[in-house]
Amino acid sequence: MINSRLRLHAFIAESRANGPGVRAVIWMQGCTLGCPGCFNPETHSFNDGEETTVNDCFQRISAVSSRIEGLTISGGEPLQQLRPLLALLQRVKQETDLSVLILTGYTWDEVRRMAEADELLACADVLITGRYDQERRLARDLRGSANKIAHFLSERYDAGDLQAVAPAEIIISAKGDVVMSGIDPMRW
Amino acid sequence: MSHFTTIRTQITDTDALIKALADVGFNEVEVHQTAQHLYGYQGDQRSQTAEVIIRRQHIGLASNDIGFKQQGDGTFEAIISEYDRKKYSQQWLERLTQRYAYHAAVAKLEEQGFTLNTEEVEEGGRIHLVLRRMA
Repeated sequence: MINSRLRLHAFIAESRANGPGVRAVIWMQGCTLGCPGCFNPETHSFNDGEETTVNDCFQRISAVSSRIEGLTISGGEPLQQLRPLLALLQRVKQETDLSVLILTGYTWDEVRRMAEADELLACADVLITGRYDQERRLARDLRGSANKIAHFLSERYDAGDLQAVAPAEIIISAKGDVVMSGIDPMRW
Repeated sequence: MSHFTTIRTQITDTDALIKALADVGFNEVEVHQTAQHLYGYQGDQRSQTAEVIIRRQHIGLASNDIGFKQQGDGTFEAIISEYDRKKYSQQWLERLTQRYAYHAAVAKLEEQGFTLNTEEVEEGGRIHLVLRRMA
């Protein structure tokens, strides 16, 4: 059942720097786009990360759904696992009130040419598109570089909501381990 | 894409360690450029040495000194006697490490041009810091 399995790089249950409000975030594992200067190179291999099921992902999100506003999908390149991702997002849309924000390295035109484009766009409230261009580094408003474009696909959010997103966060576990995240993260 | 990095905290910064020790109740801490001997509960000098030391009188009547000895790679390793590990256990070390990570993070974020926007303790004891860029 290839459509039911996803390869993940990481999951944060409650992030405050990956979209409006408090959000669960999934970083998908695997990307072949090869943008120079990408700051998540460890997400590129399709052999690393954790293989799991759509159902498991949904359960993780569902477990915190009362405490979050939405779900953000990052990567890696999420749309290189499009069929299982769609299966997950369709469940999120059907069974929760969570908003969905997706970051992809594909351009809008490339996304539109995908066979599942209509289904994908029906599941998302915001789609941020375009390769990372290190010559045009922006690192704010959830856009890594200035060429990236935020497409607002529902009435739920607008540009002001993305401008209000914090650029960085640090989460320190009870054991002292540190997670750093955001579009302009702190370096340790 | 948005960034994600996870780090297993290692204690390397003396200032952040001292602040973390204060957070867990130890305000009287010795800091030495060269490692000094630790002493046992009967006042006996131990073979172990450390650069950062909590003397036994600040711990308990039957306690031995607790030390933090700097290793070759710059990390501090805790020296805690078997007796004192009953109270200053792995759980205590984890709490200390969390407080260390907090102080190390606060120092680094200011160095890198961030300000601390919000700070919350969440379910499970996680500390969540949200940062903004300095104007």
